[in-house]
Amino acid sequence: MNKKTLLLAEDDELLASLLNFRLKKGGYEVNHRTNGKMVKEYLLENTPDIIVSDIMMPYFSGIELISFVRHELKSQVPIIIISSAGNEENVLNAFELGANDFISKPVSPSELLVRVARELNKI
Amino acid sequence: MLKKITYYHLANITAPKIDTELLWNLSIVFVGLAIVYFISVFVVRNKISATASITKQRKRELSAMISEFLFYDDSDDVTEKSSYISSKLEIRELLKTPFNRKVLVEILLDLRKDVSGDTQTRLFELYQNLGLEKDAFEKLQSWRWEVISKGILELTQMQVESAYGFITKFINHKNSTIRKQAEIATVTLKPEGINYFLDTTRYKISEWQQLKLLDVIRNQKGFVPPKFRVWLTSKNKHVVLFALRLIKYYNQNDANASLIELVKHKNQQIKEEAIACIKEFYVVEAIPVLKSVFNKCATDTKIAILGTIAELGSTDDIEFLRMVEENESNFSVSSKALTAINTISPESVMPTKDIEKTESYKEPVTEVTSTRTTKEIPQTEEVEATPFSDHIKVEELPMENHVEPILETMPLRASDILEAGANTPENIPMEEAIPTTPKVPLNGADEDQAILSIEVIDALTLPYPKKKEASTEIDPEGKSLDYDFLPIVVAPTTDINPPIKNTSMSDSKKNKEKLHRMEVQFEEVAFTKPQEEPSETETPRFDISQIDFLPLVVEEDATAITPQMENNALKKEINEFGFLPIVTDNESETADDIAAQANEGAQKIESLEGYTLSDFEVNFEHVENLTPFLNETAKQTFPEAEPDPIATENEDVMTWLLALNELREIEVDYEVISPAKEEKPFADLIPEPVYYDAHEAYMMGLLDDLEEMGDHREIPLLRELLAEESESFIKHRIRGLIDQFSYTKNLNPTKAKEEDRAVQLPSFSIFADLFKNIDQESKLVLLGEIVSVGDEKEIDFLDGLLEDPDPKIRKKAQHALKLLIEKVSKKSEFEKPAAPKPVAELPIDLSSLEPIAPTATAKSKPKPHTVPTTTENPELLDFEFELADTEVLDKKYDEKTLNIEVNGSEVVSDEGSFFDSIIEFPKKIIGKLHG
Repeated sequence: MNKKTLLLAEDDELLASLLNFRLKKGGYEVNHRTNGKMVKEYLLENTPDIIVSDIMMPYFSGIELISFVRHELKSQVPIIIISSAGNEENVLNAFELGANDFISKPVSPSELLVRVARELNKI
Repeated sequence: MLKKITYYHLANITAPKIDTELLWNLSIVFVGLAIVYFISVFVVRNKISATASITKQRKRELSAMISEFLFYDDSDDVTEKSSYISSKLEIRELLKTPFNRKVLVEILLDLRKDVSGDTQTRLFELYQNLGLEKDAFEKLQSWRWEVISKGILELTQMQVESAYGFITKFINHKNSTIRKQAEIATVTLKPEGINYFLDTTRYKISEWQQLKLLDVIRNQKGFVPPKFRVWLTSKNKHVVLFALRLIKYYNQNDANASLIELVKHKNQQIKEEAIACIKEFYVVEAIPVLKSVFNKCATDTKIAILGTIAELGSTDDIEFLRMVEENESNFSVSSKALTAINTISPESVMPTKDIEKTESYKEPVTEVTSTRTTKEIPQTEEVEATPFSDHIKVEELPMENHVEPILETMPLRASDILEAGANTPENIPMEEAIPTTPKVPLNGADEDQAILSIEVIDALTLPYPKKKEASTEIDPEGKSLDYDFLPIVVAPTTDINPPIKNTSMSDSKKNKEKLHRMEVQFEEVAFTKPQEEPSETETPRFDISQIDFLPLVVEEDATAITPQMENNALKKEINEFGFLPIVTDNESETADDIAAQANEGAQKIESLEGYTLSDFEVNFEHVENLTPFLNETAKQTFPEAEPDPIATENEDVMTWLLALNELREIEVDYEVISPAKEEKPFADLIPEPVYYDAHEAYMMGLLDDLEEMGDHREIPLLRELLAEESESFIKHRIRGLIDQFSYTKNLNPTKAKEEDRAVQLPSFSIFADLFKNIDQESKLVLLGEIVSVGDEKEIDFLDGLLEDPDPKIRKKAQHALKLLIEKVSKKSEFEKPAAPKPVAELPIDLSSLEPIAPTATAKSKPKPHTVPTTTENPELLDFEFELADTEVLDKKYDEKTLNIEVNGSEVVSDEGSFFDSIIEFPKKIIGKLHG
């Protein structure tokens, strides 16, 4: 059975490592990118089954990533946004641009896993 | 002199002769210093970047390990378990270096901020499991305040509850940073920390600190706020202030008396906070105290007091507010007083500033048809003459203040006017039309001048209360005046509507003009008496839907009552209601009536199809015309009763109604049950009910449950119950259950065997996998760690290693095995405190590693793990189980076994069960000894 591919865009290496481990353990093939540029490059060549992205990233923010995926790539791949608490405006922007779900920091990895599974089940 | 000095000085300015060599030396020194500086900067910089790079690298490595520890689960597969063990071993090595420990702490502190839920909890556990809190404790002992503060912060962030006792000592530390950190830690680590903090702190609690502490307790799981009122008596005013804020935040309105007392506090902040609490909890009793302390308060407090009075006060407090408004020099306070007045009594104070003067509007005189007079609005001079003028300087108040009580009564009158078809209330100049106020006296002299020529049409001919009209007394309550007697004043619609003048008293004071005579026209409000009874010529109409809820109940007694009598009785019964239509049963009518009505009735019923009862208006005839007998009866019963006015003349509809009522009737045939005692032929066969007392009921319920859900494992319990029980029937039941369970146990011996087999299955050692692919050195390291990491599962594995071809590994394995057995024995001892024999008391002393005694080898086989069914004492079971366990260990790992040397033999694969291998072990040894 093929594993679902997941693109994890998170600049915080510690958190990314933790989420990476948990998601891999959850049965996903995780591709981790630490900045927007790398995410963009990856997306131009690959199509993951789901994207989990932080909003605040170097070069290319999570909001721009959503816009890029939805408008330039014309892709409907599910996007889950990770944002720090209290960043309501960004979250609303993300939803307006087409984000599918939102999870606030501090992140519960188990919760993220459930949300990812739910989004993938919707497809 | 000057010249000399100048010359002298000039002579000294000659260039000194400096040795060139010295200059060179100095230059070399400075260059050297510069080089050293640059080199040191370069070195330090490189060192920092190198450290950062190493730290980063180490963080990467450690974060992977941490992830492994955080998400490790017992149900993970072998690969993950193996990885987990190796990570555990690796991290133990890494933790020996302070740098690594520091990095690890940094990682954990960083991750704590980013993760939540279960992962965060595991993170805290990991921090303590790795022993990193010891570093933080060491920091607490530092002489540097920033190190102590960091230590406290670390322990707080990682939720080390055991640090609570150490940290609380810093609550009253002289260094404010340490103190504040300790305060937050104390409140964070334990829910009762806030109590301890408020009890013990002697220092100031800053506003920011209060906010942080509130944030901590607000987000604390399971925090039950204590009664903060107990700290209102604290000698630390900051504690009192904080307690007041907490009281307000948690709505603890059980300290009203203390709050009122704190209003008198010298500290303005406490005072204000107490006032805020009073306002929040609506402590009306505090108003007198608020008034009493008002003058001593600061401006902000005064404003707070006025705000509270505005919220809680009543009209009684307006006097105080007016006084404040007059006497207070501070604009904010006087404005607040005015606001308070208007809050208590809306629009009692009107705007006075920059209000243009307007000329008095000349009110057109209306016709007055009755001999009624009204009084003009009294002038301010009159008001000043009132007894109240001593208390309230009314001339400074707007006139509306006095009119207000009247306005409160006006809506009713206005609605009356509307009902009477008069002009809209907007057209009525209320304030001018209503000439008097409760508090305004009517001076006789002025009254005469003020009498208007008003034409009053008083159609209701209400008796005018002359006493009140003539009286100049004021009702002190201002409530006894009844304005109902006043005429309804209607201004002509064609007249110009004078605007309601919200003139202030100061304006009115200047206005010396008398009000123009006003002509008031009363429109007659004619009372149209509704027609109560229809005329005889008219047919009364009723909506049947209004009465169809009433059932017609006719008692059936065919032998005693004839149809006619029945009908009459029914009519009589109905007649008692008076207003109800009489409905007669067609079937009970005489044969003639039936014959006469049969055709008509049938037609009516046919024609009524598709309609409901309420769709019809029924014409009823008088009962007396239809049924004289009924009327006679009714007259006899109720001699004074008038003939029924609503009896119908229309028999057709009645017929239809009767038909409908017939349908509604529900005749119930009751079977008569004789009270006489019947014979009970089988009475003896029915058992008498058994009533249990509480104990018996409990026991029977318990036995029911055991019977339903229990099995042979309940036998010991049942035996115990049997021994204790005194009731014979319960004993009988218990014996039955024991027999039943014993029988079922014997029926399923395979199940028990399966359970035993499951127990005896060899446990898998994760180290076996690791050992396959590592070199000798790694194996030795692993064997060194196996004691600390491993458990009883590793015993078999180590046992196998005793036959390893490598003597180093054999020796190490032997040592590890010895330690592991000790560890396991201790663990089992700890877990089972009832175990009869600790390791020290075992027949073989493992630590001394003495040669095995011949008796030890001759020990009997370990007893199987069977539950003896015959034993009465359940403790004995535990004892035997533990004994068997220790015996196994003793037998298997005695010194002789451990010291045995096996040369180059193959490592035996662990195929048999745990107990099989134990049993087979002596045989193996003997076999090997014999070659």
